Amino acid sequence: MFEIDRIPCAVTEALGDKGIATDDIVLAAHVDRTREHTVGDVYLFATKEELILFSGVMAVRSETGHFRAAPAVHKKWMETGYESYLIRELCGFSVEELLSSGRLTARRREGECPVYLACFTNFCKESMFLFAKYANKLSEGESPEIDPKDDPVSKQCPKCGLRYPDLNRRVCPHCMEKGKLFKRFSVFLLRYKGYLMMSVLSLVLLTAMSILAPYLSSGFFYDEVIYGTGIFAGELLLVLGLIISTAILKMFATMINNLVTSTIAAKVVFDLKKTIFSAIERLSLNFFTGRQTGGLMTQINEDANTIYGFFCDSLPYLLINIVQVIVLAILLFTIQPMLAFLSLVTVPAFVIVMRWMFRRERMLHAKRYSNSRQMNSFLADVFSGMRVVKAFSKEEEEIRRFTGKNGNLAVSERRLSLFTNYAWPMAHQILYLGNIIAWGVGGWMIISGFGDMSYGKILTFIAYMNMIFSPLEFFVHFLDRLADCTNSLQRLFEIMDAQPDVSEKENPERPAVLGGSVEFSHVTFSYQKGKKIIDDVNFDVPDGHILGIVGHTGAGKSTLANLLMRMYDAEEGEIRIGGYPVKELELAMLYRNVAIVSQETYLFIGTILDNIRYARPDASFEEVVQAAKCAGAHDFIMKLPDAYHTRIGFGYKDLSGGERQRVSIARAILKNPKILILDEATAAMDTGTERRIQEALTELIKGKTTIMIAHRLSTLRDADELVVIEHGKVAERGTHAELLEREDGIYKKLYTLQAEALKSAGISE
Amino acid sequence: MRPMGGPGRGPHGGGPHHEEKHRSLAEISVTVWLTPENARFLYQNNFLYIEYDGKTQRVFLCRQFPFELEWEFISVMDAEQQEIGIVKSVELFDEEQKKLLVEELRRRYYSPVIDKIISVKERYGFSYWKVHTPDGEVSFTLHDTYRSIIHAGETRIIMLDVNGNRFEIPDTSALDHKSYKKIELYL
Repeated sequence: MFEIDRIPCAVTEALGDKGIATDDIVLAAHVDRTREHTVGDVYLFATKEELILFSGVMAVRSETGHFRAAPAVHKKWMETGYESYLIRELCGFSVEELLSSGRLTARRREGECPVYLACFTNFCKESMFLFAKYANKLSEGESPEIDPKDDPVSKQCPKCGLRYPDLNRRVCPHCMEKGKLFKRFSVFLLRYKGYLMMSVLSLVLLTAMSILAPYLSSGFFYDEVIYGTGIFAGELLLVLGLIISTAILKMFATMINNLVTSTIAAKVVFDLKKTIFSAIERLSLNFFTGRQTGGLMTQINEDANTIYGFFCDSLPYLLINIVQVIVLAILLFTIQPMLAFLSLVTVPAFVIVMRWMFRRERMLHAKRYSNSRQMNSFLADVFSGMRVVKAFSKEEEEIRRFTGKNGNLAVSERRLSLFTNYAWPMAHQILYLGNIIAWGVGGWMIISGFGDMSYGKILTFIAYMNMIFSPLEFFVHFLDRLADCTNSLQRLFEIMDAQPDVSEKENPERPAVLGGSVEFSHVTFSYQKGKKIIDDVNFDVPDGHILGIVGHTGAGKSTLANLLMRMYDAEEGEIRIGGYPVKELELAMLYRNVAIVSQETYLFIGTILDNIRYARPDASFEEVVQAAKCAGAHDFIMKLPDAYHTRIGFGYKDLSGGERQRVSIARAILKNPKILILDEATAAMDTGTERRIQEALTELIKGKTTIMIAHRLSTLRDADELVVIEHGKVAERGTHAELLEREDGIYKKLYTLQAEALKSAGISE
Repeated sequence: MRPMGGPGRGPHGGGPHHEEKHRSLAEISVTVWLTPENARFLYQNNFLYIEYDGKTQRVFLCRQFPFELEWEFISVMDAEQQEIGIVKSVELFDEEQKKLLVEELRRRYYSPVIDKIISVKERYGFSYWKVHTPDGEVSFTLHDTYRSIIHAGETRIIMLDVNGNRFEIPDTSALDHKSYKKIELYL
């Protein structure tokens, strides 16, 4: 049995009572709604003959992502419904998505009548896509072979068996082992062990000096030097010398520590960013389309800082602070246990108040951050859309909106600064309370002669007591820093561990010469389960020929290009270049031989020269100029004051769409690939520019295998063959003339429509 | 009748595909208002059908302004996601027809209403929510919490979880104090 969801024993037993043996069940799944859209458990079973819907009420464990039927008191399966269908009578199992829920439907083979099988919330959507996929195979009489990728075991945490809250990111929040993360990271840190040791040593020295200094300047000074009778009595110069030398030592320790910290900070942050960046670069395109690029950038920057801050700043201080608290407590209790006990009763209060305040401040900070982010994005939005604002004369309205956002920010800023200005001084009164207790009780002890107290001892005591609070404050913050760091580490390792979807085969093929023919055979692909973008596509392009791909927006044309470039891998079927399957080819070889010019041209920040040379940094100046001339870019480049050295890209000289396109064509020409993909390369151009670019492209595609994807059919006149893609399938195939001969053909319709549109616009082809 | 994808999406689950109808601009720009005079809705085999223009076919309903108008401006789509026409208000139809429309819309736009937030845990870029709804307790996960919360009005929010579920809080100010404290940061 293929259990898409876990089926409780009680249910399979109840099913056994109905004469359905567990061994006969091929497919089983669970949904969390009844067909009437109420909460309930319905189990779907498929045997080779039957489809069974078994509903009832069951006490289930509250797993993430499942509704629990309200009073979960029934300890056993309480059946409420049983329905069965002959599976061969049904076909076309499919999932209809509503908003938060969905329906599993099929239709009867006879009469095409639709059948409503089950209803579910989106928690069960993935399961239902799988169920539909395999039920379709069963209804066709095929025995479903289970794709290991669909195995539900991969949806659960192997340790606790709970479903992952997010299936795309297999992290179980219950079982994540912090210890393991830190251990793994410490290997990375070991590279800097010398620096770390120095940092810790200087901190030890610093702490020792900090503890010694108050004793020398208060207790020792009063009790031994001024009022004392021992060997140090009257030795004023000696004690001054001691005080000065501790101060100097302390200064040196601080300097060493700062020096080490800044050296190591730069090194660790640099290495971390490099590690994260190279890990990200290695991943397939899928990773980038699934996440926001902005998020990635902050990730690289902030995570490196957080991790560094924790390991090189917080962690050494943690060690030192622990030692410091212990030493100080021992000293305080040695001076006078009774006094120490009474004065330190304020410590728990201090810790509790600090913790509360810290939380509150974080919250206020977050609010302020969120408000300022909102205002900034508002500003960016309005300024970049200024033309529209002016065109609709909406200045007043925008000023009003700005005032609103600005006001919010001001309020949150005021709250934050009020809090920091009032709350912190008040919290420090708790410290002061400790001092007052020490003065009062200590003074009373001296007057009454209790427990051998002296003025010097009280001074030392109070100095030490005040020192104990700063490590305590540190501990309060420490937990949050630990949480932040775990968060960043987790992300870091997640990126490092992510497997690129597209990876090079071991011992890939490296033919000396790669032919230019392209062949797609039975290629199927989907970005999301159950939604085929490319469905059994077949075509071939002989070496040096031009293939035009036509189709509506979203038909899957660009996906075909992505598959050929191996930005993604086809799920089924094979793509061959020069007779070699692309999956077998060395990636570098593949990328060298295939180039793409698409509608979105991306030019990096740099000179035009750098951008043209991006694909072949070793190209000579002659070659660059030749390529630019072929692309029709040379003339406009020479009109710029800095010619090929003009800086372009974000924040620099802005080229027009046509100019950018020509630079990117020059880039492709310089690469001189065997196979060229033109993905709507001229879609966004006006007719004049398009014509010029077309000319440049004609130059580029000479003698190369070319795949032209286009919306505007006039650009495909030169194609040797055309393929019409509809809903991911090849709908029509043939030459321009052949396709026009088809009555009722899609191509013919499109062509007529476009020709009419052009005619009415006064342009005849 | 053939199987079809839900509104807004193409067909799924390997069902046969449809050829898109190619309609001219003149056809597209005409608004067809569906009224009791020209259209009749009926419920068959658990699906909603329309009798219109001499044909009976299965239809899908879509709110045009879902955050503002629940029972007005309803697009009626056919299996191929082409709009047959618009129902300006369900009130135009008689009780029995209105009930069919309202029930279909309720099913389509079903999203659990949160009446109490039990716990929120923010961890590793995700937030884990445990809430109470009229259907019972449920836990769900949001990715990038700020972006997953849609403000559909002054105090109304909609949360989109990683599975594509929607959870709604119709009025955040009506939440109990403890629940409000938990969500305050994201508002």
